[in-house]
Amino acid sequence: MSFVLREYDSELAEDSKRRLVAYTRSGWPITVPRFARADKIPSKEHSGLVEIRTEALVDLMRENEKTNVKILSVSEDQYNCVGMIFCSRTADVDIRHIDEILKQDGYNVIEKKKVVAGDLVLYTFQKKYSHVGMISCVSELDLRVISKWGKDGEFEHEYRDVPFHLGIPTDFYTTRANNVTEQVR
Amino acid sequence: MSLSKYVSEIESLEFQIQFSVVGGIEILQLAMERHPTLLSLRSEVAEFSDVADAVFDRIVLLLGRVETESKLSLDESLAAYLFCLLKEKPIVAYRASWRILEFGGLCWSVQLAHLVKETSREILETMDTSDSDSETILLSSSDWAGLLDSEDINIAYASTNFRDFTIRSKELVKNSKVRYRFTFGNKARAELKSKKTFEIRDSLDRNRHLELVR
Repeated sequence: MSFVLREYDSELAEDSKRRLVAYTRSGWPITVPRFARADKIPSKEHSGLVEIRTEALVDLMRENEKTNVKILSVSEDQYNCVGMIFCSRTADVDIRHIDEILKQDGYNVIEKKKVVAGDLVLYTFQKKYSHVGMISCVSELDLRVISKWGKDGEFEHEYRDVPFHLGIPTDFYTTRANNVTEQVR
Repeated sequence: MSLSKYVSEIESLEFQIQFSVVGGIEILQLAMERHPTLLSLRSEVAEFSDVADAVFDRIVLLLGRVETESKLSLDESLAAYLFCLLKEKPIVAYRASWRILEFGGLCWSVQLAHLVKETSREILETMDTSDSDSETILLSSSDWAGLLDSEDINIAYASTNFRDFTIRSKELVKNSKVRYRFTFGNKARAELKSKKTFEIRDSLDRNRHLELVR
């Protein structure tokens, strides 16, 4: 009987050794499981499948009258929305770490009317943060965001135009100090 | 809905891109928890054990196709099947998880399989093997039943919700290759009904089922 347990434990130990660590600005480590690292997608998938899926997503958005979505890139790396913003497009960091990352990197909540390009928008699905994007353009009529949708492409989109499971925009964050916020605007 | 209709929907591009966009395993589960097709499939998996077996077989079949087709194209479909099994038939999910982890290279299905494995680890840690010999295992778990076949080192787990008693010991009597009898203390009996399925009768005379993992 103990053989089974030993075998299982050693496998788990081996698995934990394989974990990678990414660091926030303050040095706080985000542990990235081995299976979530930024593996290259085989080139045949990059050339075919990922493009097909990304285009299908845009079609789906259009069907839902969310027409203001532009594909920025179809990546061959498996990074996600958090990895795009905080890990330079090198890792797939689970969105559940976002609270700690924002805290460690000194982000503060701001009102929507105070956001500028470079600030972050957080989306909520079922009362949990589900997605993060970076504000790319602010105008009186529009707020545009760049974000990576799961393992599909990077998009520029109107801040509310995201697939259903990415949730709805609820919070905005910045690292700018309050007085600087006013100067920038 | 027939199984073929579930398969055609769950393995469609439209289904997959609903889940490929999410940013974490927790959100994936929340999304799958509310998906009408998956809710419907889960109710069938819960009710009919042959549907659970069919879903397991489908996972195995899809894993076989991953080599020749594309890994990512089937990932969300595999994850959806595994999710249904995890919620309704944890034993079958456990078996499927090992298949997925052996295969590797996938994203959501691998993360979900790790989750199943982690859950199972907690159960393994509750087992006290210090006094065990080849025929007896001491268990202490209120929510889960765990069985070990000492000869073949097979593991079976069941989310049986045996809340009305605690499994204290198990006697394994092997009369032939296919006959087993398990006794859980003096409160429940399990007798072999087929090569894979055990019928458990608990203290309240309710039927429970365990499956032996092969």
